[in-house]
Amino acid sequence: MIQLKNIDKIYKTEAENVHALKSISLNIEQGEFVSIMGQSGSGKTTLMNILGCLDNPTSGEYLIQNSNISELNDDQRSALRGLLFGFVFQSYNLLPRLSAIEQVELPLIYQNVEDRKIKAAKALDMVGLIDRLDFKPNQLSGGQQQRVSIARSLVVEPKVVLADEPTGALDIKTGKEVMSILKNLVREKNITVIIVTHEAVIANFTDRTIVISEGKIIKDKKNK
Amino acid sequence: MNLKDLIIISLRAIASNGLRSLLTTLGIIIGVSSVIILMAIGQGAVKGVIDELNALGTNLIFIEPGFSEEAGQRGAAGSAITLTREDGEAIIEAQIPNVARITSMIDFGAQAITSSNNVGVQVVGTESMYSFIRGLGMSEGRFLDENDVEKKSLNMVLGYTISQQLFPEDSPIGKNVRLSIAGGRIIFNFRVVGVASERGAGVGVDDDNAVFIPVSTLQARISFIKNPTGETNVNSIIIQTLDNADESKIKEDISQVLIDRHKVSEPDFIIESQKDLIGAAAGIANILSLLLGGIAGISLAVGGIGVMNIMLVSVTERTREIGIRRAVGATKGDIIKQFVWEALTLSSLGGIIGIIIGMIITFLIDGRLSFDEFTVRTVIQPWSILIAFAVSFVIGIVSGVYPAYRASRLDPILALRNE
Repeated sequence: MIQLKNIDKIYKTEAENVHALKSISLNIEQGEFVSIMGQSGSGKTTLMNILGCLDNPTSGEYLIQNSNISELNDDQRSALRGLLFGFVFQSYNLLPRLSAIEQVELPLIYQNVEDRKIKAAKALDMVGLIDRLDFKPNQLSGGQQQRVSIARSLVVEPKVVLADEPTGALDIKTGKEVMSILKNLVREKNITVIIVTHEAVIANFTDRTIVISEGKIIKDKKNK
Repeated sequence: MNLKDLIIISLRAIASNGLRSLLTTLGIIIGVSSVIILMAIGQGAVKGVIDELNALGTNLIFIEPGFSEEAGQRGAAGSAITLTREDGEAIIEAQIPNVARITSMIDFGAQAITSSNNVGVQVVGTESMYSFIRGLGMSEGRFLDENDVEKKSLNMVLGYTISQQLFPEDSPIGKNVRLSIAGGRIIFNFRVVGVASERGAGVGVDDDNAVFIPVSTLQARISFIKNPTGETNVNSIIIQTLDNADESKIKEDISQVLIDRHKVSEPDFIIESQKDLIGAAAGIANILSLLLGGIAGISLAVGGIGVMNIMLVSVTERTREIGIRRAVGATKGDIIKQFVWEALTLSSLGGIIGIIIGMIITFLIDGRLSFDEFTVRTVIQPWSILIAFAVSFVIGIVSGVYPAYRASRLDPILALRNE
């Protein structure tokens, strides 16, 4: 489903060139639950941005369903993001003015989808927030906000959900709840879920852990 | 992203910052309403001038004496005695097509005196057709007739206000009025035969404050102002044409008659139609109106800069929002649309409110604001509203495009990290 071939990413700054990713090659299948682990500065977020079409690699090939997307332009990447990917962020990234259901509707607005309310309500139901449709972010707990952002990532019926430190701002108990929601998605909807984390406990929830250090994959193992 | 979503998104963003939005649109509101008000005052002045000229009568052509070039000296326009009542007669005899009526006139100041009252008046020496051409009605008695002019009679018609001042209590018909000219050196006794109806102030002759006497009377009786040829000097001849007549053709024909009669090669008179005068006056007043509108336009431009400024601040503040929208699939175009639409909504709302306020103020000052003799009248032209709205619309687009472009250029990754 996802193939990376010899991906390099170099950030040019005035002082020096930062070689964030060095010749990364990787295959991820449909329906896999994968964690990418690494310390800060290891390049895991850069990898995630490239996987999520938020950024282009400097060199190498990125294939999704066997088509090369490493040279798409900005608008094409936007469209691909909207269609294939759902994003979950550490800091939830909800818009402060919108209610839960409106947050979830947001991706649908940019795809001109019909029946947005119904689809958004269904997605919120999946994460157990059907009774919080009209709540604004400041009326929700951290775990609830993260579930809204998961619902937002699901509403477009994505092939892949990318989660950047989804439990980073949560206590252990709610963090585990969020992880079990993500795990269910993989089981029930055959969605590929890729999470970025630095916590081994969280990584152990997934089926496969890829460890990155200094821009290289140093370990790629199946979890029990 | 469809239009409905755009409208909802922009209205929400505007409402979420209510006070700031209001202050931003205030610049546009003030700009648009001052454009409306000043244009309306300018157009009111245009209408005032045109109304005054129309009050002279309709379809008029004016002939006035030109300058003489005797002995190589050029006098001021109107200074030469080149126009006579007989010129008018000659125009009638030439039977120029479409000429309906002709009257000649000469006017000067004098004192009108009765046994109990003494008022300053404008004396109009004229002929019977004057009342028809000017559309001057009679409240009592009759106007001057051809007989009065032929016989150089001492009959007089009073303007409405003069009649009130000289004879406040009883009818002036048949009474005597003394006319004192040149500081009392010349005095004639006239008998009142009529009183004109009230008509309000106009340009040229103020009929209410005038008295009318036969054009020929005084010149026949005062030897030193007599024209040596025996003709009667006048300072204008007024011609009324039929409706829809070709005025330039009539002017040409009249010029030819007078040139032949005066035996000159170049016209020694000035001939102008009422439409020429209206056109010239309206042209000046229109320039004035545009000038006023332009000054108000400057404040509108300042308002537009305010909108752009706030949009730029807004883009910076909402960097994270832009990142989120981009992450969930918004294209650069979607972001541009969102911010342009927001600026457009701000300035159009300002435009609409400004138009309403401008119209209310325009309505309130109409006829209620005076400077010395001049009372401000206002006329709102539909096109001035259209212009004001169109300008605020364009300002919205112009002031939205650059901030929106900046917003769309934000890197979604950096925008998301922005705390």
